[in-house]
Amino acid sequence: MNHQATWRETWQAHPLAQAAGRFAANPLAMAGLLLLLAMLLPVTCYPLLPGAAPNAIDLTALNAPPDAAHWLGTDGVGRDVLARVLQGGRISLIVASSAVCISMLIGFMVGAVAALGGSVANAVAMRVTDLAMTLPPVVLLLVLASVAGQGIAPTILVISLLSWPVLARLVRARLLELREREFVIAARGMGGGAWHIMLRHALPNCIDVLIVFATLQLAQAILAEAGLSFLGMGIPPPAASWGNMLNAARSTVVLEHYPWQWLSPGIALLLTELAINFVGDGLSAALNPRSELG
Amino acid sequence: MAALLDIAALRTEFATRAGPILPVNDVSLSVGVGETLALVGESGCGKSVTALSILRLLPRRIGRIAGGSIRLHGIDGDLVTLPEDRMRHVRGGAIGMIFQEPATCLNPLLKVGEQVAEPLRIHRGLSHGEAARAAEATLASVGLPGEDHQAGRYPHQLSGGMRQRAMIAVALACHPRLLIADEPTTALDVTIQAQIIELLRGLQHELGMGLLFITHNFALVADLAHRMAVMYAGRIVEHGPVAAVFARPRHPYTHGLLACMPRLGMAHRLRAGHQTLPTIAGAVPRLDALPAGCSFAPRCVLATDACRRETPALAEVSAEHAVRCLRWSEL
Repeated sequence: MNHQATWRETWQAHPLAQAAGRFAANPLAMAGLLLLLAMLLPVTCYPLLPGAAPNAIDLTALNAPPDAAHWLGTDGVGRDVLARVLQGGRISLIVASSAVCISMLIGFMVGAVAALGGSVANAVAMRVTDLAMTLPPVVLLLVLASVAGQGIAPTILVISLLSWPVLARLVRARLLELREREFVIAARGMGGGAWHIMLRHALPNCIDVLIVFATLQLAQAILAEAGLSFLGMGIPPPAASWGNMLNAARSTVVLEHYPWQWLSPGIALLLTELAINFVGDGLSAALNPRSELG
Repeated sequence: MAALLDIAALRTEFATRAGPILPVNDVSLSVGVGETLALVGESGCGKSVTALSILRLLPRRIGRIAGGSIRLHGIDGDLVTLPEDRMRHVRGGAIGMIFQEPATCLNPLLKVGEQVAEPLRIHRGLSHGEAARAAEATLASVGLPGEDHQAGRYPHQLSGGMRQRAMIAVALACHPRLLIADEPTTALDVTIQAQIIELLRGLQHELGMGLLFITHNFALVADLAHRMAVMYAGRIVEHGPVAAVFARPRHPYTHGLLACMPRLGMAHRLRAGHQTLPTIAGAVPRLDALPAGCSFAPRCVLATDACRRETPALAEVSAEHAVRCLRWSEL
């Protein structure tokens, strides 16, 4: 048996590889993935193009409808809408993915401490989580945003502080069950300490929870960022973001006469959200095959 | 024989809603170097709790060791009071443990080789590569040779017997001086059982380790063990050399258990209706409602009023054979 074959065989037997197979067999999930990739490619590659200039002003084309020079038209000060939608997508994605990473870190740590620590750690961690969950999200978001200020970093902070409690609960529930499983007791029986249990047994066995949380939370975070920016508490102009572009739709004139200015970021937001949710649903079905057996 | 493990008057307490119960009550036993001690009894009589107490793996917040001492040769101090960080090096280092259900004792998401390598990295501080090579060697010694690439497989790709071999490899990776095997063959086919027992016997011979073998299978006891201890409702009711106990059990419970074993040639008599398979009437009493006096008295054909009044002490039948029964001399 040569080495290549063994490697492939091992990968095929890996539980994640089997989940990937189930994911690939789900048409809706694959459509979501393709749509997401189709959105991601221009959004991430756009600044590499030579003509990228989301803040360049074309005074000869104010509020111009879509044409050959400006594919999605221009806004009130003559900036190219397509360029701004792509630039806004970048910022949305940076904000959302950073926020998801931070909230995953906090959520997993809090959940793991609650489940694997002693009863005091559990009580403290879960009461803090309850507290964070009880606060009304929009109000908290606005208060935090007004304290933290505008800009990319504060927006990331605000969104991540809001989304970790759900994950903390999911992780705690999973680990409470896992803690009593025999292989964890066996791992303690061969001398594994708390870190060993957490990194070698808890983390791999939470990976499905984490992946599904990450995708669905990404969609949430993009929406939250758009909402904050729409309200003027997120990404400040002139930097583009889907949220602050939609802000233009507040003016009836723009709403009625220049629909490309708000339709473009709106549709971009809608498609991204849809795609991510399809992928998220597909992932959760693929990672938990029992859910479909009912 | 030098004592490797010496347990004295061990009491393990579980907190229940109805109050504390004692799944292990005043248990004293010892295992010598290279010796096999079989711990036998019905389900729920405290065999597994004794094993978990030795490693201090009792369920948190529920179980605690309420008294007694556990000493292991080569470890200063009492395992009962040893600080947790030193206890961690005893687990998997000086004492290895094999559990009953190989299917659930391996992490489904880690390759078998990695799981065998882990104790080596924890206790010996080996690097990734060194541990992987040592794990291959350990797997080969339990009959999972490297050319089959078993180390790179996940537990779900292995059969039950192979998983139990892998579990044994995890327990033996650091060459423990004592191996605790908690019903290691109960979940396996009879043919595989024989292979695993043969493997354990060979490894014990090779490594010279003490073996605490928990089972309810008397055939395995006769096959593998030097000495045996019979547990009932948390207490040891009889212990002694296997040959002596089998030849003449002195406790009515041991006697009953041995009588319950189906024997060769029994089948046609059973079919013909000349004989029924003997059983011990009744069930093990609940630990929160133990009868006064001897716990076995309600099921015992020899019980007298005295048995129902006082708890018998361990009486010496011979230097090595002891029994906890008032009427042992009549058996």
